Amino acid sequence: MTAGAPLVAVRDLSVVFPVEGGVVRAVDFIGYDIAAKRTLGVVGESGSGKSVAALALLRLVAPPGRIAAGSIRLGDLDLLALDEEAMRRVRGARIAMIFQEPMTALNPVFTVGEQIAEVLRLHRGLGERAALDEAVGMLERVGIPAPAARARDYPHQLSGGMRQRAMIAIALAGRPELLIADEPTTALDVTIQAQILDLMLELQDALGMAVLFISHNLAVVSEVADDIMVMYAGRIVERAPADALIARPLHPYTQGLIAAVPRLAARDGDGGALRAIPGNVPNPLALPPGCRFSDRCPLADDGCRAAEPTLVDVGGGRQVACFKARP
Amino acid sequence: MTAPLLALRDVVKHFPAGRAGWFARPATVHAVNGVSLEVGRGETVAVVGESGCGKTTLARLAVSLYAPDAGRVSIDGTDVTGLGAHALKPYRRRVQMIFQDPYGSLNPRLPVSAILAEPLVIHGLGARAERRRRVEEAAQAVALQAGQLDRYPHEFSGGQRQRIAIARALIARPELLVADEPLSALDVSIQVAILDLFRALKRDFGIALLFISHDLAVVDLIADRIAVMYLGHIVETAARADLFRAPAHPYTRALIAAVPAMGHGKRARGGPKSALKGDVPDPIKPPPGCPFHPRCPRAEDLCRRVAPMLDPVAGAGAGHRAACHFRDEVAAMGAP
Repeated sequence: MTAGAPLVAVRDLSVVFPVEGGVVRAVDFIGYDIAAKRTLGVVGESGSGKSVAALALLRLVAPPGRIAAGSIRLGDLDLLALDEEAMRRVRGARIAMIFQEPMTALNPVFTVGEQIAEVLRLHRGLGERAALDEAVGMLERVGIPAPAARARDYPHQLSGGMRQRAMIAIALAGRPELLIADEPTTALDVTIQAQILDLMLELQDALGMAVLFISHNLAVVSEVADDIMVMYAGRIVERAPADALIARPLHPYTQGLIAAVPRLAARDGDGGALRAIPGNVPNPLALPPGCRFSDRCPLADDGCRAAEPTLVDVGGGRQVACFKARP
Repeated sequence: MTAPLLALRDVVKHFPAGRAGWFARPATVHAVNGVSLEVGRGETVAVVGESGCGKTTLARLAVSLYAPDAGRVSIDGTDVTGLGAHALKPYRRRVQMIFQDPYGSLNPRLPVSAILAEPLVIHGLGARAERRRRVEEAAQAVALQAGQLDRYPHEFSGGQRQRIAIARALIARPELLVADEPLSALDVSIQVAILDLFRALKRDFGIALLFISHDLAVVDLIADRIAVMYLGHIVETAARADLFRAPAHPYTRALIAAVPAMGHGKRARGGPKSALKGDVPDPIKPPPGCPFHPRCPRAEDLCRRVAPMLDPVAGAGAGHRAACHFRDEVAAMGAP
């Protein structure tokens, strides 16, 4: 962990969704920090709460879901206490977000240039002409060839990779301190994924923003993150510096995830036998008693089924929520 | 020499793609553009490529869901190209398909037992008691419990649905399974279990597999032989180990390099990994010469004019072929 106050501090955050038959606690009492200029990777399977936790930072949880408890601080700002108008000034200007499918996030009836220019006018006070010029500059910055011509294109005229570059340009136009990237390369082919990951790292070096990088793919996260946080059924189960987490995972779920990722044996070694995690992600309305991973965990005993472990510091900048973990 | 179980010879499949304007000529997508591929008995052949390369079309040609515009498809030495539904039926039993989406490929109105029995009914196999026994057998082979057979697809998770789809494919005792991205819709922790299931089918029943995937790391775990597709062509084919040890096509090299690696730390430390610039070209307007030349770091003038053939790589393993003018030179570079 870097010294000084974190850029973002999340404490005791819960996000709930009323559904037929009960209330789903998609994010259940989690706390974490994001340091300025660093990349925090968030890994989890479907239903882990990783995307909801990110949307909560922007207060964009879709109703009837709502933030039920907790606090989110961005520097000195208490985001959950802001009125809607003040929150709107935070979005885009201080925290920006890119999504898995750029086609649903981009506005189909405006050109790419107009959409970047809008951010520049709104958040950086540029005039009409200056904003459009700068928009072309932004497209060039994210590696789009013939940027002046592409600025006049509509989103559907661009390829998947180019659309994701355009979305990154829009997100970065407001010079945010934090970029949230939710599965930004999942819909892309591997060679295009490699290009976008290279671009994100290069832009982060140049612009110095913090990144919250969310993915189901641990290998992808390990290539971009300084620290990694693993989520399971609405909880953080482990957090550690990226290299340490991959080299020596402490939580049985993290160990299972790492063992489940296929590797190129010729290049990366086989990393031991590939194995599946038994069972399925639990139904959020019928979580197992005690530790939420206990019904799939090879180490679980009666103690694990009686009480839920909390996330505790174990030294070396690591935290883990497991009674059986030995630091 | 005995005939291979499945043989595709110079198959071509084009699709109409609408017109650019009212007076424009209708455009054509060159989905599969002259591909030859064989799958032997008990062999697992993986076809790898990115979106738009034609791999799904190739899978559908292999199971006769599409008829090729040119070229031949034969099963066990018999040419089945252009056979009518009735004549095709016995071959349909021998070659079964598994789709990517386990939500869309199962009839939501039927219980699992009826879904599994359907191929037996269609092919008129077995009496009632025999069918029930085979349903239970197939369910057991994919680790579904007997008590689950009365349930409906929506009561199952994605991984379990894919097991049901595999059981349905197995029940007619096919000799070849064609699986189109069977793991892509599943969570990571579930993928391995399904991959293990395929490996068990191969080992225990000697079933041949045509495994379509975009993921080289997955293919590395299951394939005997790999074919890499790009823009409707096979650009390289080799035994699995040979392909990873000495890829002879620049596109294969780039694909291998682009696979995310765990435990190597942040990319920045190793330098950029995206050797390829730009996007896959539009399959409506494939480039002249080598289809890969616009993105290729090695391309020369020759590549822009002359399309390379899928030719043997000098000094490489048996059956190692690549469609690159500089294949020997590229292979000599070793693993990426």
